[in-house]
Amino acid sequence: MARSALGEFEHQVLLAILRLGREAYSVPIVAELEARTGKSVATSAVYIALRRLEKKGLLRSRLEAPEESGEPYPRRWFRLTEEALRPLRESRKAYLSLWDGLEPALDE
Amino acid sequence: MTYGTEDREHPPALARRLVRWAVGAGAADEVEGALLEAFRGRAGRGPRWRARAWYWRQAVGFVLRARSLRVAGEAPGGADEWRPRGSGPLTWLGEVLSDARWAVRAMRKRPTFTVVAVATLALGIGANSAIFTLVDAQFLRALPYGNPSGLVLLWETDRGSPDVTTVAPGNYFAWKEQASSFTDVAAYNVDVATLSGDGDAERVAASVVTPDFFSVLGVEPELGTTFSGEAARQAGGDLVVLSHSLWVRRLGADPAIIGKEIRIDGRPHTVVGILPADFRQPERDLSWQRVELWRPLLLDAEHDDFHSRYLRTVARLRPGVTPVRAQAEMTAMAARMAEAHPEENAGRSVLVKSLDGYLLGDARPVLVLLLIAGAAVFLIVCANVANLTLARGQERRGEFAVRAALGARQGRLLRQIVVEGVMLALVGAAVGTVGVMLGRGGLESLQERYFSSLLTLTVDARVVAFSVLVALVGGILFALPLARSARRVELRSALVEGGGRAGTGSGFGGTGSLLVVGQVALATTLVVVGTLLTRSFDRLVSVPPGFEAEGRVTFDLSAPRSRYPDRADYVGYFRDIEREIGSVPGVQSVAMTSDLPFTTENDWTTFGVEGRPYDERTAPRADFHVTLPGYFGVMGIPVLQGRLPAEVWDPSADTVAVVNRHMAGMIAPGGDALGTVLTLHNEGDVMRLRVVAVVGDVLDDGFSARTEPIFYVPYATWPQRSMSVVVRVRGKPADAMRSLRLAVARVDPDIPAAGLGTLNDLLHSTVARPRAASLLGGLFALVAVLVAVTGIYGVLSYTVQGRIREMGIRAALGASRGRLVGMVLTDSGRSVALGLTAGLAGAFVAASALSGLLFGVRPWDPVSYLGSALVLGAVAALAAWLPARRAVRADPREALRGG
Repeated sequence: MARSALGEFEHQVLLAILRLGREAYSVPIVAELEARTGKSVATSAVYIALRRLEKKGLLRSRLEAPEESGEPYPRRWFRLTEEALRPLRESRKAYLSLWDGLEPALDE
Repeated sequence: MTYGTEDREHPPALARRLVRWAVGAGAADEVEGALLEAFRGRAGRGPRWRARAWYWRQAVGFVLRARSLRVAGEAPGGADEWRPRGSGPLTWLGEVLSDARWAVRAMRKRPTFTVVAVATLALGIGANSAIFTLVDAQFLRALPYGNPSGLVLLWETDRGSPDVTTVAPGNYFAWKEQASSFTDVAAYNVDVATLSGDGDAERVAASVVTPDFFSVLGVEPELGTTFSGEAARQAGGDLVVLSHSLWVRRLGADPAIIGKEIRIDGRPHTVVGILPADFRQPERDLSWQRVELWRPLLLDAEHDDFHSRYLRTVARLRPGVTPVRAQAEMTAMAARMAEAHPEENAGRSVLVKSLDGYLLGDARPVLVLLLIAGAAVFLIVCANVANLTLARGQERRGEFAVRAALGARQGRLLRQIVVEGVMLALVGAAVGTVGVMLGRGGLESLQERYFSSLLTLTVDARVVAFSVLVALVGGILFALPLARSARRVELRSALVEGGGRAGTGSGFGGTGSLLVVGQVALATTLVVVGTLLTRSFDRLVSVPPGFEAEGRVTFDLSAPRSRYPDRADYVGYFRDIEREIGSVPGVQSVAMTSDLPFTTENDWTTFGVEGRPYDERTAPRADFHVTLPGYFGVMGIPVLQGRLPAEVWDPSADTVAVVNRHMAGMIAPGGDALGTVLTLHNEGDVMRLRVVAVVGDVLDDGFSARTEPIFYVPYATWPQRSMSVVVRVRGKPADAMRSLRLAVARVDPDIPAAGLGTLNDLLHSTVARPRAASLLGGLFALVAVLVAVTGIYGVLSYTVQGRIREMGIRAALGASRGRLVGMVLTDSGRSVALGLTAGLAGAFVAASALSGLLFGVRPWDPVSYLGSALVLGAVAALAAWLPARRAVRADPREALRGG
């Protein structure tokens, strides 16, 4: 299990998957990210992040064959592993700590 | 979503190909599929050119990141090595271990909860382990005999009287020779013997046994052999088998003891064998269990004696024969014997009783009580911990939802909860078992004083296994409510509710109040039963025994036949004793009796009244004691009529007797008993006793006994060689004991003062079992109340916390503190009231089942029920009021902000 730090984008992807429920595939993940961040998101960047996260052991994926999904294409579903929680929490802690006290200055 | 129609939008073909190249063959299909879906979504929502532009942007992005894509996707084996994890038994084990690690982490993060839960569990599981240890020793482990379920005792019975009597040798031989239900029948008797020689003179419990006694019981000696009939006859009966403890204590565990001689009752006996350490004489009475030496009982001369009834008999059932069948045969045989020997055996029959039923019967009610109480306490503990777990689980709803989103299957989540519960329970069990091991000494003394100590108590692997089993059951039990409520968790709702605070979701509220009801009910039952037992015990010991026990010391003396062969010899001995004791400073008065009250097995006889017709078969019975006339004064027994005979050591022509009030009423109803002459018939001889005094009734058999007719015969008329001495002393009885022991030794150093103790102690020892029941009942009730109360307090703390916001709003709207508190109390009050009602009903059922242990108190004694309900209600109200008050005190603005 890699103990590497979580990049900002990776952090966002994990959260997006969480928000979507148990499992998610790339299309809703991209849509969720765009909806929440308000910016357009490159699908390829998401795929890279997904692969990296899986290599780090923070995600697990399964390939759903076309016969199962009913689509003409296979679909890969992603879900978080338990190991993902710790780096998520740490990342959040770091953000909150850095933000602490700065809200009044940066509030709009 | 289906494909196929021509007018569906298609993404730009070139862009598609670029993406496929960038991603690589393995993932090309799935990526293309995802992009297609997104493209079609956009094409459906807006202008087509926008969708195509978007698609191109994505394609460019893929191309620009092609290298990173390949690198990122590389795993051993290439770009499409996105393999799903396997599953199998090893995975399962790994998951359980990981669950356990989670559980430990969770426990550490909430130390207060963990400590409280573990302490509660340790109490509940530890108490049950202690009970199991006792029950194991009493019921589950075998008696120290070979195949004990095949052993029965044979008693004689008389004319429908409920009591059994000992057996006449003639009957014993008849049964032995004729009964087909048994492989063998042995006879024995118990008495005391004096050891002397090396070391102080010592009186020990002893037994005389027919040579087949040990083989019937299926006991092999540890050293040497037991005696055969032949060897015993040759040695003139002076052989002895010793107990293991005697061998160790008095003979230094001498390995060469076989063949050596020791002095018993002044005569040398050859030691032929040593019995195993766990052997006990098959007696119910604790003191008779500890027989330390066995000598041969040779009954050859008494083969046809059907009159002297003094033997006990034990028999081994033939394989395949049940006690019921044996009883049928023996009843028929007894009828035949009654016909064959009408004077001695008329109206008499035989009772066949299984040995384990006889030995353990007395202790059963108390053990049943313990089991019930233990189970109840355990359930309360589980309910308590379930409450705590459930309440805490509310805080963890968010966590559960996240974990469910993490892909934890329902089963996995439930397993996690159960593993947490079991781990908590195991830790509690470990603490509890350690407690039991440490308290083993206390358990042993409890067993010794209040139960049959036929078996040694061990805290061993069985107890540990039992604790683990209880922990597993308990862990699953109290994890269930939480597991149930966790199933209904959804991430969105959990996030919306802000799962950081305890909520009052209906799942928790419903199950939580059910648990409160259950706890209150169980605690109520235990408190009522405990109160009943305590009141019963109080009633028992406040029955006046008919004599005064304060400041009296007693002991037993027995003049052995070998040195005091004739009547004149032992009368002289007791005269010297009376004189010597009387001269001890601090002694106020001395008296003797053949049998102290509150000891069992009184002497009794049938009697007649002169001038009235006498029929042996229907003559009334009375107990009798042989006493020195000073006995009544020393014991504080009031003389109601007449005058006591003068203190006389020499037999006179005028034989007199003193009767108690009950007997006086029997022989002279409504009239004057003085002057009546009692007649005692014995094979043609008649002894006449003129009644000269009537004394107060004395409880001969214990606090719970009825008064019986008793008459007292002066020692001069009927001298005995064994007497109990009662000494009234000034000052503290304990101080006098040493001087008394020395005084007895001065008269004859080889006769020890046996059983030296105070009369008070004797009284108290007879109520050991009811006292045990009362103590244990009270203890369990106390524990139950404590646990239930902490449970109620805990649950309500959490519930109230969850309602802080609501209360803050109400307070802001003008509700007074009192109203708020009242609101909380009403809700919890309902649960408590329901629990009280159920508990009282349960208590009635339990009390009826245990009515055998109650004395002078009815199972539905209103004082006990009412009092318990009031106390529990008040205590529960307090437990509810405290957290309510605390929450209400909180600043309403803080409450509104979310606490």
